[in-house]
Amino acid sequence: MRLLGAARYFARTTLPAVAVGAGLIGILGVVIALAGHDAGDALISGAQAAFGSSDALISATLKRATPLMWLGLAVAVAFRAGVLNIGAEGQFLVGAVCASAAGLYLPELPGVGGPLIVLAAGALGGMAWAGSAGWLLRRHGVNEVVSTLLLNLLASQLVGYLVRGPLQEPSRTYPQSSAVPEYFRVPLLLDGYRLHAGFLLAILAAGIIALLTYRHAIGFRWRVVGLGPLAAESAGLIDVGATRVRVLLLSGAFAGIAGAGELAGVTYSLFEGLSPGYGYTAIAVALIARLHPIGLLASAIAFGALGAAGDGMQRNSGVPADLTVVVSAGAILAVLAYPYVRARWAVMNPATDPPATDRAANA
Amino acid sequence: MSAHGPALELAGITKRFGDTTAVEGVDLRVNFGAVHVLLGENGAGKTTLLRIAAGLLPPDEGRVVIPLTSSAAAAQPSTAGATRISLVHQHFSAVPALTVAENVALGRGGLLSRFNPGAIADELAALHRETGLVLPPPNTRVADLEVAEQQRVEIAKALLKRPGILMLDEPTSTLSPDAGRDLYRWLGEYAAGGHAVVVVTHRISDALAFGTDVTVLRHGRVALRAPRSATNERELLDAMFGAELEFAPDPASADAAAEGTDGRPVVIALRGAGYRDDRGVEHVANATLDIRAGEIVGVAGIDRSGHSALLRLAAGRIRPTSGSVVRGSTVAFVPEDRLRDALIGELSLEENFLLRGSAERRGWVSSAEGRAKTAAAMSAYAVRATDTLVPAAELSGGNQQRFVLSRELADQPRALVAEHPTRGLDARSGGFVRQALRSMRERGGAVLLYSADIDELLAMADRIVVCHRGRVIAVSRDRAAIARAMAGTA
Amino acid sequence: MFRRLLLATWAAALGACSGDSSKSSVATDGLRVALLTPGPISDQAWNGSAYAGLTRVRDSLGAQVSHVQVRTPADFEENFRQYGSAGYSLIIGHGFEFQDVAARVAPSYPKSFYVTTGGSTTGPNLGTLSFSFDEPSFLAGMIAGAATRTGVIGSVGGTDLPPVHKSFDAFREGAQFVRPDIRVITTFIGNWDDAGAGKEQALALMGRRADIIFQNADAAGLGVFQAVRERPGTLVIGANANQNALVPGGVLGSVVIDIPHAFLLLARRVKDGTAKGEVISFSTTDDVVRWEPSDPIVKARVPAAVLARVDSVQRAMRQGTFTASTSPTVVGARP
Repeated sequence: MRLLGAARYFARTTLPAVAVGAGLIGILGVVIALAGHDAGDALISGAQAAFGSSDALISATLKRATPLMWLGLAVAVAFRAGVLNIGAEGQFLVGAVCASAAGLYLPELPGVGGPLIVLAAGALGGMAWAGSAGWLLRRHGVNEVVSTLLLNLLASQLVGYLVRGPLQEPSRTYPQSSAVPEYFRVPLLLDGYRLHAGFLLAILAAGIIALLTYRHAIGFRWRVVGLGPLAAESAGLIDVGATRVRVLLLSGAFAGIAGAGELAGVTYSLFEGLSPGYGYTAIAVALIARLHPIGLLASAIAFGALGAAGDGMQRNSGVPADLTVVVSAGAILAVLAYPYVRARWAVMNPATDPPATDRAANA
Repeated sequence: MSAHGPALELAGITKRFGDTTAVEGVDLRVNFGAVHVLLGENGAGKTTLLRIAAGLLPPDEGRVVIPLTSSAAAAQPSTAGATRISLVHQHFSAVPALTVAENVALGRGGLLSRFNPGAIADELAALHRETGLVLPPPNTRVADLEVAEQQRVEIAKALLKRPGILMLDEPTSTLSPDAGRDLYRWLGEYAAGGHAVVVVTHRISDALAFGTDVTVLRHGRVALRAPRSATNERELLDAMFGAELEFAPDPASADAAAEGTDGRPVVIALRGAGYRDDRGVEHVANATLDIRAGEIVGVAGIDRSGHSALLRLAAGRIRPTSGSVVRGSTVAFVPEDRLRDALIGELSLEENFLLRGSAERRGWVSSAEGRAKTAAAMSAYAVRATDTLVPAAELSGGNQQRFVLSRELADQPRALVAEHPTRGLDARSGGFVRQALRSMRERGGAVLLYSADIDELLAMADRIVVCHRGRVIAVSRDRAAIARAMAGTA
Repeated sequence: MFRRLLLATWAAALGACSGDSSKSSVATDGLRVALLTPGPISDQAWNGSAYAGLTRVRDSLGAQVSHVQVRTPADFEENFRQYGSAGYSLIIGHGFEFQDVAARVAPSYPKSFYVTTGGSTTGPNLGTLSFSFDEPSFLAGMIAGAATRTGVIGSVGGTDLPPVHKSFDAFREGAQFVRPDIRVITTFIGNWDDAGAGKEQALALMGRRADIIFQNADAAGLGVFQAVRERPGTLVIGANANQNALVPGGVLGSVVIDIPHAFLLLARRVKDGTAKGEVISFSTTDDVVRWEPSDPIVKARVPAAVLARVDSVQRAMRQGTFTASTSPTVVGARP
């Protein structure tokens, strides 16, 4: 029974991801061919740019996956508890802003890790940004989808203002901040590669969240609140509202760390275009993994590889960027549509999905 | 048109889901011109068998034979074969926002077919002339229909496929008794017109009153097969449950009522308690009620009389907005809507067991400990499931209710609030639940019980209060007095 | 996106800060050119003109070219490195935002020549493109000074960035060059996007009797064109692209930057081995930056004698013998 359960779990979680991935490569090839390019050549360039060398794998694919891992965690934790935090994008940006400000204005403290200070600043920033949506939800009943989405717009305006105002580089010419000093930079993991320590921290965080979710009373409450808020309140006596606000704060902290890591580990300076919509991609990252903290690490890497492959196809096969964007968007749609397709398939093939009432009781 | 030839024959049907055997070696023969009632308690395998018969589910063993003799449907070549059988599901599939005609058109499928409301109205009128099925105007929105009308729309959708055999799964579960009678009367006439009808139900009274033939399923096997004329209630009960039932008034409650419970300690005390919701609607006003150790206090009330809020105040699930509610410790609570308020369908039984008290739980969740406790409680309350990892949604209604009781009473609470705990259960499960409440009382627990069934309250409760428009009125244990108080004419 | 050009014009002033201008050791045979754009090349503006430059390099010099659209600063480094390790001779990051990353990457790939557009950071194999916008602004000022009927002209900028200020100073110098008593009013909208505010500013200037307005405010500047359309008799001078057709009969001319031409000149230098790690400044001399008059209107409003002077100044600029407001004394003299 255990083995069967594991197999069923595998079928529910891993297979869709594999299927989507395989389908994606197929779609990609067809789209490229339709656009008049050599699909084989393009796919090979893409694969090489994503996995072709240790440099491609580490400096391109894994580096790109790092913010998606943190943001995917942010989305998964929130969605798990039924909090539809669409605001990871904004929390990411505010995290980057706070990290930049901390790195530029805080003194260097001997004995304290500069990267930790910067990441903590990012976490606090993301938390505060998410917290304002939490306050609106608790105090005024404002739907978090609406508030977090609007806060995303506000965050990008905030970055635009700061890089032309208080945080602008000293020559006051470019809309960007100065680079944070060496002391505050998140260290690179390997010499000659662009992957920073935030990658390992993300894996660590995902492990902790997985343990909490499936083995700890705290995570049990997250799941319960997400799956059956009324039962959680009535049978578990859980304060659903307070639990959701706490989860939103945690989600914001993860998104903020993503932004801080990107700033202090990759770009070092604050720019307007710091995120090409990572916060939205992360929703797909989390959903494709069915919100599983470990599974989403894999889907984040898959999306990182897709990005690296897209650039590689542009560079070496002349495939336009728009095509790779189209395919990414197609991937997200495919993931979102999957449960519905699956449900429809189950309706049309009822043999695989026996009626609920008669299954357990007749044992 | 033969009125009595065989319409459908099932021989030696066996169906397993994983380790679970849903039906085993079942033979079934359905004749034209008959209403065949498939009777069984929750989880007996009725629905599975129905789906196999309807061709929605392949059997593991056995065969389904649809004789190609003359029948109403076979006479029409265009529909012979594929749509010989139409199944009306227990849960309606009509889209509430659409009109009757639109829903009928939807049922047709056909992505490219044009929607022609006039043609559909004509078809429905023809159907009415042919079968006597009374249908609402085709341009009414389904959301505006009575439940019984909605069901007739479902039946119309099924009949428009011109089936030789019409199958209905628990068709009266959501209908009023009158509407249920009307439905069966129509089904009888429809069958008499040369069609075959199969009805799945757990109501013995329906089988006795309206069936032509009866097949009783028990644990996936055929326990009885007989024409209606050759059987009786006693026989059907025994076939369904295998044992005799008890739903007699409890002598203990009559004794307690005679003795009075005034001297016993108060476990839950409502003192002028009132409750207004966020929108300012008053549900309970100035309620004063003591629930004492070793008694069952019954609550009666029509819908929206405030009994729901009263129970939640007593259980500590909501806070009074005026007055006070004093409780000793956490109160066990069995809400009416199990799958909304007590269980989480997607979670395993183990996890659902841990749900109680999860707000205070700290540290790691030990699955071994949870499993042992769950298994112990489940066996004490005869919850039937393959193991503790089964999702709660996969249990039948009676098993779910026993599971909720087992969880709520696992750590011997001093007080229990139960909201219509026997709702939707078959007689056996209902009896089990009643017994659990009585033993709670016998070991000195305080019980507050709401039931929509006055007879059940009279059988169970030591004292009875009635909710009417948010007021709580104490009444004597007398059927007429209760009914008057419920209606507000006391 | 044309506001980016402002930064490119400003870089010339900052260029003095960077010292190293040693010659790079770029191989001259088998020219391979790569372009990174921060946005889609379908924008018909900043990125589109860069891509047009890349194709011109390919067609004119037979170079092998490659383009990638990058989305975030994080992607810049990855693509800079990939091109470097693939041995591209010229790698252009089309925007100021590429300069920090270029400075980090360039030392690792000494055989490649890295260029950013509108930056200020340079190195042995890292240059940055800059455009001397002030020379044609000076010419525009001469024309406006002669064409005004009220003796009052204006200039409207987005925000008070140094390159804009410098261009407006040159515009004033040019106007005073032909009409010493002219009044030149300079204002800034405060942003680069709000066309409504741009129109308000233009109408306010017209209220102060200005009849010719030099706009340099990107999308907000389109409001100036609207104001001119509503007030016949007033004229506007466009910036960055040729905007002469935006208001029929209402545009005096445009100060234009020809990016494809700049890329071609740059690629030639790399091919010849003459590219240097410095601020690579293009101006009227190279015909990359130029004054493009709207001929019928200019001829109707400006006396032939002034047009002749404009021609001679332009010739002097092309020969590098006219310095206009690039001289420190003039820049320092701004109010």
